[in-house]
Amino acid sequence: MHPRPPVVIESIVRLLVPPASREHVMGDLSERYRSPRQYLLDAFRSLPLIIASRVRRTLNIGRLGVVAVTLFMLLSANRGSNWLVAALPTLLATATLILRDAYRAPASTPFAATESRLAAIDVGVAAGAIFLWQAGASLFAPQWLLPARALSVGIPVFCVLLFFVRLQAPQPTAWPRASARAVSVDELMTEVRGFEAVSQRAIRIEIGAAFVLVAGCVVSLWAMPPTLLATAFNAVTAGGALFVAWFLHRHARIEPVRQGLEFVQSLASYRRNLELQLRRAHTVLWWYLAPLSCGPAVLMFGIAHELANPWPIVMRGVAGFAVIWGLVLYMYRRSAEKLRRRIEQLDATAQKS
Amino acid sequence: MRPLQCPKGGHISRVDSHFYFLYIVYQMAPQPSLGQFEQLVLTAILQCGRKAYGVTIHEAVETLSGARSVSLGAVYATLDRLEDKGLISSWLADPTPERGGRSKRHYRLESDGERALRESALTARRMCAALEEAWGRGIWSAKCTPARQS
Repeated sequence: MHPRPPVVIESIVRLLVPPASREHVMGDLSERYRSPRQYLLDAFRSLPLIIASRVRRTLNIGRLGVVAVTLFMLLSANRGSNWLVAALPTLLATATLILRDAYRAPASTPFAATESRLAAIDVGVAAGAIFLWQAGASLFAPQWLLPARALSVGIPVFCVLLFFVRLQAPQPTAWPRASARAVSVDELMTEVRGFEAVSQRAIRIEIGAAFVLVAGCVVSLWAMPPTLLATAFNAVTAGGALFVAWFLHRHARIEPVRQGLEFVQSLASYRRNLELQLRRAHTVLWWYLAPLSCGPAVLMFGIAHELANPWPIVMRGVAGFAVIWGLVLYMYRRSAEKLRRRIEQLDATAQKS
Repeated sequence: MRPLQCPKGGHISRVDSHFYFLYIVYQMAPQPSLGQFEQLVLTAILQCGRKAYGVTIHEAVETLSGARSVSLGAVYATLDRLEDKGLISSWLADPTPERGGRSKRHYRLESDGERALRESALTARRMCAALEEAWGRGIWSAKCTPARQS
């Protein structure tokens, strides 16, 4: 009988191995078992690279970058305070989300939509990391405590935003396998339905977010002093958000693949939907970034116009635009690469069938 | 993008002109080049054949690499990377008692992987030919020191 590693040691190692790799890694370590010392050495030498590989596979830098920048801006409520006060808890929350994605159980089917429960857990984990930071800072370094406004306004707003961002995206490991292999009708239709559900949910959330932004601009117009700059900023921002909502409703909605079609026709319809999403990803600059950036650009130049030395604010504004645009473009570029690869795989599958 | 040819008819995708404003075009990615360790892992998978899973691939990589000790984690990370590139594919087999009732993850080369490995092997062969020309056939002997070019 093949010797087994001690149960306690095996349980500890099992907890540390990411779920997606757990089955075969634990099996391989168990097969190689000779002694507890050898088993532990094997496991702890392998774990860093296994975890790093899992992080690499699940990391979406664009999406995570947008979340991190948003959190940093929300926590930087007090002007004049040290920027590290907001930066350090932001880094901690971001690192927690990265590990959360790496240790998430893999989706059983391609394009599995993120459940509300899982999105809520993600929010809880990120908020928990920030509160853990606060607890540690209050005990050991009170100068690093977040201001009250960041806690009362910034964190709740961040939690709502993070929830919808997580809900919008499919689970990190949900893309179909990279190799082009033959697929059955059932496998294809499972993938197609999953893709449709994820895409439609993402579009609904984006349209909803656009209307929330419009509502925010209307409230802001009512609440802020009626200056030309405030009116222009709110009007242009609301116009940009309405354009994005209209565009998504008019041009980005996918047509569900009809039930009962032949395999080749189902494949062709699915491919058409993938191409639509690919075109949306390639043209994100003009239908998404440019309209939403007009309002902040008006605000930035309006404020700069009234200052004696406008260059610092213009430079900061340009840098902010560059960061946000860069992250969003990178995010959509990654999606486009995966979509393009899937289209090529479907072409190969169609030729085989 | 070329339309899908459906032998039994069906729809051919039509490009919507709205989308061509500021269209960002990406070229098809060229064949990925392989690092040395990736070449070792692909060769190990080829050698192991139907028995290619973590433990056997690791043993084969250690044999192919010579005296070097190879980390099991490095093998897993490379297998993940190769799978993401589409050069190999994997599946979970049936569980076995000697593995504590856990399944093995088997790997096999895909056509892209075979092509990439063949390219690497041809490059290595050209290098070997060039080295033999410069240093003579005796370079493969462990005691031989390559002669300096005057």
